Amino acid sequence: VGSRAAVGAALTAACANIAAVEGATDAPAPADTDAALVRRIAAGEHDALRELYARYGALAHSLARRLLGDRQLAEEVVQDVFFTFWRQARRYDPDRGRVVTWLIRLTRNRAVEQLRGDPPAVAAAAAEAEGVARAVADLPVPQFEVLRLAYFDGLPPAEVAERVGVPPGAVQARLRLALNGMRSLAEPRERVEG
Amino acid sequence: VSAFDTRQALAAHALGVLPDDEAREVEERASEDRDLARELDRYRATVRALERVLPREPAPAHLFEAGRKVPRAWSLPSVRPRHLAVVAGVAVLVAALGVVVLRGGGPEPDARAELIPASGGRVRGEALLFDAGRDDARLVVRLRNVPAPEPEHHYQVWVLRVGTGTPEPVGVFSARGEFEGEFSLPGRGRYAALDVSIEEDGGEPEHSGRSLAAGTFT
Repeated sequence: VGSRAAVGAALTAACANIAAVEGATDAPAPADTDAALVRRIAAGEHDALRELYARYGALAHSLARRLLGDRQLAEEVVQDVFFTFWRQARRYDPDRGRVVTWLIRLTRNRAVEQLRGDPPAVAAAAAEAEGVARAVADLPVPQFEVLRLAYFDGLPPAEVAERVGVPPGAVQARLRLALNGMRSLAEPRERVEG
Repeated sequence: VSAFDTRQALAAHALGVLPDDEAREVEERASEDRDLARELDRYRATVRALERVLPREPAPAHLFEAGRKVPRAWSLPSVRPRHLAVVAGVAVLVAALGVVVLRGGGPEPDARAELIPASGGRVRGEALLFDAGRDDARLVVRLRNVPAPEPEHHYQVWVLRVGTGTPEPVGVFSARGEFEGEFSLPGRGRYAALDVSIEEDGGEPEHSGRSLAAGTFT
């Protein structure tokens, strides 16, 4: 009691709803879809946040790094983005878009907030980077998963196969499908003349 | 490697992730087969387009690795409000990844404080002070029965030096259940007490007046 008094008089106040909050966070954990992950995050499950970071952390970091050109700033943005997910997960509405789209847009916005320079140039660079990130994120989940491990983590097909639980041949096939699905990124852009 | 396998391996080769022997074999086959070569070129163009925009780097695991400290600059009272959320983000993710900063087998602390609920609740724990006489003084906080923070709130650790009436912030965290974290202290000094407050995300860098737990160093 004495130790409480020493600090408490100056610093403390009641925390009336601690018990209520404490009892409200034991949600079941099955889901593997993004939306289910966000529901689990909203329920206070740290493992779900970890899973979301494993799934999209590299993409978010890469996007932030591209826009900011600075590793330290990109890391700050990524931390901020995932912390925002933690705080705002309960506001997520699946009808308004995919989780990864939300994440990419949030990353872009946070990065742009840090940027200085010619606004049109910043906007153009951000739009291009966001477009490529979304092309990656829009791949079917099995293709996205193997591409993420091969592209960002640099893992060979055999190791990717171990991670995702399919034969190496299936990994190679999915990588082919993924790159075929993103062919338009490499095609020359049509010039739109006004 | 059959012709079919070679074709399947083209994308992995364009991504540069095939083992050397398989990569050599794909190159040889592609040099003899125009269709394969064209397909490989197409994949390489796509990979180049990706690389031009998205640097190929894994997610930075070191941000959340065990033992990572909250950077000192973010722990000082002069922390900018914008960064408060970032600091909290670090702490949330540190907690989320189950990070535990243990000093098992390490030196004895210079001081210890039993942490008890400031106003109800079941939270209990202790705070250990290391190297209090040095500029790199550190604080280890261990808590159990930590309630999940209220929405858009986090916890902040404060210390009170002997002879001062102003609590100094040393770091933030978010956790539920058990928490253990290490924080950098503002510097050398005689620390009298510690308090864990409940703070609103992005709020003012001042004590909110609401405490989760507190204790005095002995």
